[in-house]
Amino acid sequence: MDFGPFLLLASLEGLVMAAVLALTAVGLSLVFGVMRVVNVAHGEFFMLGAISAWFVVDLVPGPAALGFAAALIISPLLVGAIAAIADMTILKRLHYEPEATIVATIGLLYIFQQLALTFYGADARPVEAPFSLRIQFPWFGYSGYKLAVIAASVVVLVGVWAFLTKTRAGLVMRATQLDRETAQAFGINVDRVFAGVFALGAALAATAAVLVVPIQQAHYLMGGDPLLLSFIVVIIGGLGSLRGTVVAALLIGLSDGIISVFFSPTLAKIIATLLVAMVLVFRPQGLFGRRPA
Amino acid sequence: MMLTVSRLSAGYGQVQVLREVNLTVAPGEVLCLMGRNGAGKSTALKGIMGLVRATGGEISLNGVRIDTLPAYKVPGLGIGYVPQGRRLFSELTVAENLQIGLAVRGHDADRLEHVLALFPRLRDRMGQTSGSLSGGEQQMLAIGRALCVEPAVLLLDEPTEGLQPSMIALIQETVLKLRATGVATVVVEQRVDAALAISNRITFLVNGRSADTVATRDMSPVDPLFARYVGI
Ligand SMILES: Nc1ncnc2c1ncn2[C@@H]1O[C@H](COP(=O)(O)OP(=O)(O)O)[C@@H](O)[C@H]1O
Ligand SMILES: [Mg+2]
Repeated sequence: MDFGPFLLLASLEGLVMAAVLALTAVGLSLVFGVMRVVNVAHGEFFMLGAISAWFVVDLVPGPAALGFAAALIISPLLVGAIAAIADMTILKRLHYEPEATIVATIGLLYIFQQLALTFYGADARPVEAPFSLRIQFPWFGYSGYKLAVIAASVVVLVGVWAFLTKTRAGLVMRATQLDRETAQAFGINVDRVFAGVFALGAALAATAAVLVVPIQQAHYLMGGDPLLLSFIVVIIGGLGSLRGTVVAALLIGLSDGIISVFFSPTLAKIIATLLVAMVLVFRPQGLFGRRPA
Repeated sequence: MMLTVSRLSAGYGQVQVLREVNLTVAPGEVLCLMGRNGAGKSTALKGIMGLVRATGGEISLNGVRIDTLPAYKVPGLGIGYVPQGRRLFSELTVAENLQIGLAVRGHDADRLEHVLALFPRLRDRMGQTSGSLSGGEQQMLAIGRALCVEPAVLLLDEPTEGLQPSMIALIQETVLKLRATGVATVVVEQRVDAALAISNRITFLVNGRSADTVATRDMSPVDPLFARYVGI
């Protein structure tokens, strides 16, 4: 293949990765932004999304697309509910203290992993794509499903943006993020907002995971990579800045795709890590973050 | 509505700040809270809002206790709060800040019109982020946000702090207008002339305790109470 088409292929792979990463990282960023909680279990919500998608697809009879559509709705709701319960029973009791919540979410990480191992098993299992269309470019054919993942991610991200900026609930979340105490003084039930934000963050990770399982199999240890990459993206983009998170996901996804194809996946990870180190040294607030006042 | 605080004690964690605070304010009345820095004036207002938990004593509105409610339920009873330093949602627009206030009791455009009529300057700034306003405009917005609640009780914590004389005059005028409509107001004020100009009574706070409460009309600007409790 010539360089041009090769670069296009690598960019498409990078965009797919960026799409999934953006969804996952926006969830992490939202939780940190509003609640100031560093959720170490975020990757496990991703994993639970993938595994629950496998169960749903397995249980729903009929065409693959039907099971997949069901998973796309049920998995995020289920994982969101689990997250809301974890928030109300654990994080709330810790008064959302930064150190305590890090330790608690590390604990959650192991609990979710062991539960997945017990009830799902150690196997990696594939989920069939809802459709198997191949888009034929002049130089190569490409998975129509992967292109659909990019589109779906864009739709969900636009939805999140519209929710945050155009709805009453989104306004309440943003106000809570800016000043918890004053939010309460204006009738905002901060406990409820936090449960909702934690659920939304987890549901976004789960959505990303459902989109990913037809490409990458569901496995109980699959949460590690999305967690690490989300942290990288959120640090580069600026903690709590959603715009920065999306831009950084594009940056990391594209560079990972391109460098992996032309050189090696290991080099791609080295460069991403180097980028984080540089951001931490030269611009600790991230590309789009503001300096703490 | 009548706000009554009796023998209130409260603090932050292990640190007790309020030891015994008593105050009342009736509809159509302005009570001024005075005392030195650190006396507990702001903490007393936070206590009324439920933002600082009462560890003793009672707070009641028309005889119904409110100190047992979670903080987020307090404003819905008709209590508007203007915190010290304004505490606007700085990255939200003027309109969004007011929206937060309107949502407390489900008010709509009519209430907003009423508030904008009091502070017409906010009308031209609706789409701006509140952090980009001048100090005076920010204070108008902080008061406007509280008025969007349509409060029967209004708590103002140093609303004229750091403002120009013309703005101070506007805010005092607003407080008097609201008093005429029957709002019960508690205002923390450090300046004697301002306190005398707007209040019916003054409660002095010393070290987390309410000391004397006096009727303003009996006082002169050189009253020894000011020297004793406020150090002027
Ligand atoms: N968030 C807080 N945490 C701990 N102590 C506080 C806090 N806020 C105020 N204080 C303390 O409570 C006391 C009263 O403060 P405050 O109510 O703000 O006084 P005032 O408004 O009369 O100047 C002070 O000693 C202050 O240091
Ligand atoms: Mg104060």
